[in-house]
Amino acid sequence: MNKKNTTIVLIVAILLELFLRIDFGNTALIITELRLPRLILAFAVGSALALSGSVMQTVLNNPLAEPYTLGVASGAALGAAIFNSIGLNLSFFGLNVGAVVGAILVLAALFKIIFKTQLRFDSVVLLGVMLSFTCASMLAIWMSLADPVGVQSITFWLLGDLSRIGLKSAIALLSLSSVFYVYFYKFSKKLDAFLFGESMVEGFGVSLKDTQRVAVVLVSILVGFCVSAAGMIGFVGLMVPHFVRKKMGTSLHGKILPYVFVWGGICLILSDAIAHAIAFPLELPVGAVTALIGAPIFIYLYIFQNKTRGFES
Amino acid sequence: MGKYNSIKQNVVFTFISLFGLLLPSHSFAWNRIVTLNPMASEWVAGILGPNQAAQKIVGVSEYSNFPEYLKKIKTIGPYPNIQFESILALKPDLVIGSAEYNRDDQLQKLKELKLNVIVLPKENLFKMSDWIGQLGKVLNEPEATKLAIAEWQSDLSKIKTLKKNKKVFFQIQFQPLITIGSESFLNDAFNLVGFENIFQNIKQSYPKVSKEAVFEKNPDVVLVFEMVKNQEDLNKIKLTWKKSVIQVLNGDDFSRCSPRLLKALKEMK
Repeated sequence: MNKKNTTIVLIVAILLELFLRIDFGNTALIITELRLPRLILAFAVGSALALSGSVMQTVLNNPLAEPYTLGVASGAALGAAIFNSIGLNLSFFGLNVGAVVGAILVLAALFKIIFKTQLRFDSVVLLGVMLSFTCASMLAIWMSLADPVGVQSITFWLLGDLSRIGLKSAIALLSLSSVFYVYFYKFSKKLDAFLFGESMVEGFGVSLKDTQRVAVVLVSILVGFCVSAAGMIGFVGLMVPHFVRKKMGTSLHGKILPYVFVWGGICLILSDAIAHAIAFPLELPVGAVTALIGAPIFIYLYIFQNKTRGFES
Repeated sequence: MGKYNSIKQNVVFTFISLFGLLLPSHSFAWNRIVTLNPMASEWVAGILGPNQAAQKIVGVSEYSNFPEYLKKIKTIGPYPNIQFESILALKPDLVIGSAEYNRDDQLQKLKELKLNVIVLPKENLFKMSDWIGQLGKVLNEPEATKLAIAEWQSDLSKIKTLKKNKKVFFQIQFQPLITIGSESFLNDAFNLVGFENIFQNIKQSYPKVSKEAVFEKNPDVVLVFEMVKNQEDLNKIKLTWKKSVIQVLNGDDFSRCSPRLLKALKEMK
């Protein structure tokens, strides 16, 4: 994994997303109005999710941690479902208003738990997971009562839908993702302190509690934006960080974060290109394709290329 | 979905059709029409007539299977999830969707793509003359529209009320169990024929109900709408609804609020 490989794969991914299975009836309009926003959004969301996953895994010291662990995404999905079924399909700078409301409510609950209570961080994480379950079950009940067209809409959204957003909003989201990346990159050393175990963190002069809290809140905000724009896309946040760590042979954030960011984007762009083209004119949900293609590749990497095992560097 | 949206759509639709009234009729003809759901496809084809329709309709949603010639037209995806690229590639000058069958966010996106989108309001069995009239004005076909309205009224009046007070369970689908609620045009349709829908108190179009609820209401007749594939499936259904009389109908005839529905109703025993 180096700059050259990454750039080549990125270019290939971009070309596929823009031109694969294109209908030559109205090419220019299709590319500018439909494909380009999808491309930019795919990169923005993919990179944001991969970045978030990487930070979550470090700060929670758990290789199974991912951006959706704390329930912001489930809250957003529930908010979107409720607003959708009462007929309010509003858009706020391209983001689904219902989703934003849902995400904010869950964030507020998380804030309260994190900053206003004296709970250990483990308990915080557990409460976050409970929030996630609560929202997911309420969503399931809501869906069972909804009419078929509404359910279709929400189902698609639950599995990821990159087609709902316009060019300006996609660019805005890309900028946001980049800003978060720069922030976390600047604090790579602080994050590196977590690699030696929670008990060693303070020894490096890094405040354990503060770093965990800030990281978790920032990640939740970023994830809230992503899910409000594109629905719940799984796999990227969980697997891309592992993939990059394994390929680079290190877990040091200064080294891996740039690649995590870009490869997250590449992953989602490729999945979107395939999801869109493979069953044309039907469209597969991108979250399903991400897992379907990524998981076997990941299994192959881990089981059959077994030089460095595990999560540590 | 949501009263707010359907009122909004009605107002927009009325406004657009009034606008259509002001234009001189001979200067307007749509040449590339895309319909976003089977109901719209059937009606547009019905009003335009086979010659015009086959030429002017360039894109239809999946399952637009009536009239037959619509099957040969390019599809633009299933109606809950239309494909924007296919629609754009066809370069339509008129796109017709429904508030009832198409997703609001997709209709909104089509408008953002600067397409000429007309959204038909929810159909009501007894107010179809207005609905047909509005569609006819958009398509600019006054004669065909008048004919269609007259035909509808005449077919409607020919439907006799057959049985009285037969409690009926309408089975749209077996698994999961889906029936007709008060918001569906089929509820009105079968009330006309004299069937009493045991679930007409549910304010939805096609609610999912539990088997216990059906047993509780104890219907006399069960009308099954789906294509029962084989005797085994039919036996399963018969076993479930033991006491009631089961009648299997051709689901496709009843799937849209169109002249086919009225003809099918007329032939019911």
